[in-house]
Amino acid sequence: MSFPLVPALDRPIVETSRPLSSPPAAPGGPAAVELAGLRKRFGDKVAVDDLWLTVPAGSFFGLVGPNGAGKTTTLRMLTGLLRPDTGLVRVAGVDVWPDPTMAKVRLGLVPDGLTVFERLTGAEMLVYAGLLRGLDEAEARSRSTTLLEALGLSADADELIVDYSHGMRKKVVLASALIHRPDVLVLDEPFEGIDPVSSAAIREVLQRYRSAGGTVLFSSHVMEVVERLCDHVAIIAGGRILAAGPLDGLPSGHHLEEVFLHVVGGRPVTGTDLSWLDRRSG
Amino acid sequence: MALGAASVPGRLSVPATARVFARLKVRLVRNEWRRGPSARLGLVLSWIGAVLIGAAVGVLAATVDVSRPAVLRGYTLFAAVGGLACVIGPIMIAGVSEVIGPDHLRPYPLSRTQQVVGLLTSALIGPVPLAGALALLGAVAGIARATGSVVSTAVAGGAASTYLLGALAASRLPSVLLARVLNSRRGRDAALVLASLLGIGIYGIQFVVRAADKLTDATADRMVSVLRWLPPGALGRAASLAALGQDRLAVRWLGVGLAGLAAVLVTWAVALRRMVGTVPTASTSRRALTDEALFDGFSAALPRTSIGAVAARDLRYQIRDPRRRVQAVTALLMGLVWPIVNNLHSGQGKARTVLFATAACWLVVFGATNQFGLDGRAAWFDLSSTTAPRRLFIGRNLALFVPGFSAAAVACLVLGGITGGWAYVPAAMAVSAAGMVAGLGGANLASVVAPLPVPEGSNPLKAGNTGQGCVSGLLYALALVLLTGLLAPLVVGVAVFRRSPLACLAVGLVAVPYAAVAWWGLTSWAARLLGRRTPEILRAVDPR
Repeated sequence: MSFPLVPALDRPIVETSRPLSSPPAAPGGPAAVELAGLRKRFGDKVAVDDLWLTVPAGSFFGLVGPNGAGKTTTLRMLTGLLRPDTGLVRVAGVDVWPDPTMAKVRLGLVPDGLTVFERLTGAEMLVYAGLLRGLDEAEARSRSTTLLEALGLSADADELIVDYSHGMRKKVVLASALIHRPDVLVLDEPFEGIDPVSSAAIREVLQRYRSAGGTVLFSSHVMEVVERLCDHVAIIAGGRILAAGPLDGLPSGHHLEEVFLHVVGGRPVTGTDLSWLDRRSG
Repeated sequence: MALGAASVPGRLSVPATARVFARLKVRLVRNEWRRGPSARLGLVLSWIGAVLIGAAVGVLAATVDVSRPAVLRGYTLFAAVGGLACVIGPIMIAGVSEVIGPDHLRPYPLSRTQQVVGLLTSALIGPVPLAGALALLGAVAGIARATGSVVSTAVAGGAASTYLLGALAASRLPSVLLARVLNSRRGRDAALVLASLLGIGIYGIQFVVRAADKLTDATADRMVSVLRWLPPGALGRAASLAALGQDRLAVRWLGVGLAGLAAVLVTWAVALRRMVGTVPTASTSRRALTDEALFDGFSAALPRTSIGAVAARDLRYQIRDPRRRVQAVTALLMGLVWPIVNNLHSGQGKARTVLFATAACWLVVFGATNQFGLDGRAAWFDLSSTTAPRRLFIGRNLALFVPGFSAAAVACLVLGGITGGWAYVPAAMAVSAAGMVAGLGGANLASVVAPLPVPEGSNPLKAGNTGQGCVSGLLYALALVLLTGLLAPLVVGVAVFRRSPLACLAVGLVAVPYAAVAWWGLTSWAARLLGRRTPEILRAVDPR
């Protein structure tokens, strides 16, 4: 089943009454990630509410939504870090929650917050990640050298991560997520707070990974980045997928941001008296 | 757009600044109430505790016989010691809790005076200043009752007010003065280790207390004659003179105290200005690139597997993470220094003192009961990898066993040399090894069942708490009960056979298979639980 990317004006939300055992099939190929009827509640707040989503294998998939939409919660449930209240998660055909270890073999994760073992150096961190993922030492070293070079971190490889800048941390976490060549790479806000140079390096590595057959799923609220990189997108708000599908399904002449604001419902600033901001009025 | 055409709001007067900060602090305290039942419980307990403690001390101070020379000396001594504690205390207990701190002032155009007035006003509102004010009020009431003089009471009141303000300012001074140092990683690390060593120094208080029993009046008078020149001591001196009705002299000492307060406030203001206007920077030193990343130096002998990687990483953390470094230093001090000091102090030189060296191992074990909490927000990295949980534990335990047992071995040898108790050294080492192995099994299980966050702040002199309150204390106590149960057979065995080195060695040797079985069973249990409880552990150690 395919989802309309641009719903009608009355917002036909993705139907939610399907049985949990049958996640929607990927449009045009095997699914890298399948989420069916996912729910998560924190106290009184429902963070994710009956969420259904399919990420086609080999796609560059953007999960966009406003702050507090449920993006991070969804990605944490998908990667085995947060237990859903109900629902089903499959990564590369493996059910995550009955067997998280098998699913983790297929996954690479760049979480929000970027906290890793900060008192390792970048080079130590990557060798560590490789050995934890079952690589032999020589292979881990070789891949770590290549990744550090590709991401422009070679010169800082022997500095402690605690002294890295935000962008360098992001790059080293990305490298440690890639070192075991996962089937699916999940990134939570990978471009947030990143300078253009670092951003370009990360984009290039992600595109290289994708062109080699990998699937990238990342969350963002920066529409331009998603529009530039992704071939598929899903819009999430209030813990639900409001629209999803290929980006080429956007109406011609419209940008993702316009569709996003239409689907999510932007609030105009007009009508609020901010006239005192006008310095010319004296 | 015309530059400079905008209207600039007028600057706040000093009283207005005080009002703004007071209202802000009250609002923040009230908002704490909305954070949930545990926050509400914490608020109620802290305020009730402050009232009870402050009132109790106040009543004591109000009813004490101020005509006794010991009491008069006590004003100066307590005031001076209390003032020093206000400066050193925040370092030892990792800071004062600042709801409004210097960092909050960075964006605002406040003058030095406004900054100091604002922070001092907000510092005055809270349970600790309330307790202090009640205690000081009691002291003033006692002086008023004893003298019946308005002037003496006024002088005592002035001294008490000055003392309270000075204590609040002085307690905040170290973190501001050292801000530049503490905002560097190396400075923070050094401060954490230093603070912990100061904490361990509390052990030395027992010697002071023992000495106090033998304190003569002449010695006390000599101490007063020195301590009165410290600003808080001067204020205590002013109070004691006011209690004697010597108001002129009391006013002079009050002047000394006021000058001290002024010096503290000026220093604070200058340091605040420098701190608020400085952007924190990190410092690091580059090493030469090596081909042996992760396995160079002391971890070169480890296997190049996931177990070896975890052990190598944890060994690095033993050295690089100040919290773990503190644990290691404490273990060494307690295992080595404590038996030596006790031995020398008692002057007995008993050979079996060597057995106390096992304390180093056991402290390492007690410190391992929250392994994922120490990883904190980085715990996801190991738990989202595909390494089998048992291998994670083996690697972690290896990294704890090697330095822990080495410390115990060094302590055994040193104590053997000092006491001549070489016969006990093999027994102590066997007991240490067995105790560590069994204990680490229990620590693995405790780490999975009761993980707790251990926050690592950017400034060790700022308050940092787990937000768990008594819950964390309870869980930690339960973990200690588990470990005590595991180690009890060893302790009892050694205690029973302590007179015979050979019998102690036999206890240690018998304990080794017991320890291996215990470790295997408990670690297997912990590994099974870890596989199932990954999300819960992550949520516990990183409750965002």
